[in-house]
Amino acid sequence: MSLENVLGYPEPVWQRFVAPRWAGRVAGATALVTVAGRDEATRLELSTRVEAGLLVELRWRALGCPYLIASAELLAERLTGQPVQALAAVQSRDWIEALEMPIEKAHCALLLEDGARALLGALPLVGGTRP
Amino acid sequence: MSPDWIPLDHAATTPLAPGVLEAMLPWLVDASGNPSSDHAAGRAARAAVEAARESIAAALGNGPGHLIFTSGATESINLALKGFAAFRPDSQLHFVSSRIEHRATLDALRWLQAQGHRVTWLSPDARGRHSAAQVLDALRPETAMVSLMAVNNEIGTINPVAELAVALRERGVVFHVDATQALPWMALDLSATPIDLLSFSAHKLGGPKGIGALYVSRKPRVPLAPLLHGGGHEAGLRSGTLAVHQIVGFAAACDRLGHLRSVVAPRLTALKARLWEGLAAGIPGLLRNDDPDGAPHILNLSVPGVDGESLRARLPMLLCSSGSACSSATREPSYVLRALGRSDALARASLRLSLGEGNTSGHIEAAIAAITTAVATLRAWAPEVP
Repeated sequence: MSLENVLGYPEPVWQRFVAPRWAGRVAGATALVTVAGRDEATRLELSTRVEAGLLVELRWRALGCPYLIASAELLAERLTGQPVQALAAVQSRDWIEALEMPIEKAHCALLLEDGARALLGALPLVGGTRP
Repeated sequence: MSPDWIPLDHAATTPLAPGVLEAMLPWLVDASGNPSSDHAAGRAARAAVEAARESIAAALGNGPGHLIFTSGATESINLALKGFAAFRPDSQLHFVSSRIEHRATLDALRWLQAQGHRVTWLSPDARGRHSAAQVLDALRPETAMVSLMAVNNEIGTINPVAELAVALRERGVVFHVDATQALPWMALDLSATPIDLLSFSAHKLGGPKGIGALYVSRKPRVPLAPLLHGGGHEAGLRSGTLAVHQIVGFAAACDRLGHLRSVVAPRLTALKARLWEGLAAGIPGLLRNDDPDGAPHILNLSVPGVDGESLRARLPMLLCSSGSACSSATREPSYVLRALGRSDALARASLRLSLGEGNTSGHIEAAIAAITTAVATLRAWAPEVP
């Protein structure tokens, strides 16, 4: 579907918001978490399937603005196929820069970072460490 | 207008009604006369202004007062409230108003509060209504003015202004009515309804933007102090050269009020019913915020389970108003919807769809399809809310 970006979102946000590829929930997920914004009206669910220490599938569901949806989409783009420790390296400032977020939308990137940390924490321990 | 747009934002503004541009054009093409000038062109301009003033006054029932032309309803409201207080500089006045008035009233009254005046803010019921009894119960011996809108601009609620006008006149309390959203749809006969001050604007009823009026009663006289000085125009209450073309266009739009009320309003009522029916059928859990017994042109909805900003972003062709944006640095959730008890999330996930004369059933069906599709898409992406 072709939508016009009349509200003037940055192109990296708009392209991901219009046609996301990673929306949904992973079937048979190794871990699934939901984090909420301060007002509880914004929610982000992340789910992943881990094989041999790699995030072989990562999906999101989000109740939030286009910046949050684009943030989650970018997470899946960047981390699918990466080692699980990549979740620990997610920094909100990288998302703010990549998505050209205005400062008043930085809370979306912070929620994304919280979600990545929570997902890492929800992965089952293997030999006393994260897989 | 783009052929793809679905125009459902008539409570924000209306396109020029048929005949309005034609009435205005001669006064734009030949603008050599200042209505304050004594020469022939000035006299012609003044005659056009006075004819327009009479025409607009007639549309209001020829009440025992006069019309002051302003730049719009915001200025009219400011003149009514602040001008009223400024004429009584040594008094600490008490006002009664509502928490869900237009920002022009809220901000003007808050400014007056900062100057030492007092305001009692009435809370509406769950449907956004104020009863006459509630208003009268709020009066104090020192109450100087009640200010209420006739029709709420977000949820279409109708206040009992005719009943209140009589009751307040009996009590000697000045009554200011913001009739901006009401005039296209409700007859207000000022010869029979003792309203002291009435604010309204041309562009909400098919007239041009940038022109409005304040009706000021002369029987009894309601003294005001001007906010703008510099020439003594408009009986000394609003200095500044009169915009003849806008005033003439304003009158041309008012000439059609009878048509709007008798022909267009019933059609819009039917279109609005179809819009609600279609949306409610396609969107489970859809909430209605407007008063079903309210004005014919406003449908206000909250959509649980979606973010308001994302919803607006996926509806670029839909011209409407919304309470969206998830950042306090941009826009707060609607204070009107919050006053009705809606959560911030529901207030943000709200759409005000307001109909106008140019709307067709095609617009309504297109809006139903677009909104239903956008909500289904966003809900499919969203986690369940516990």
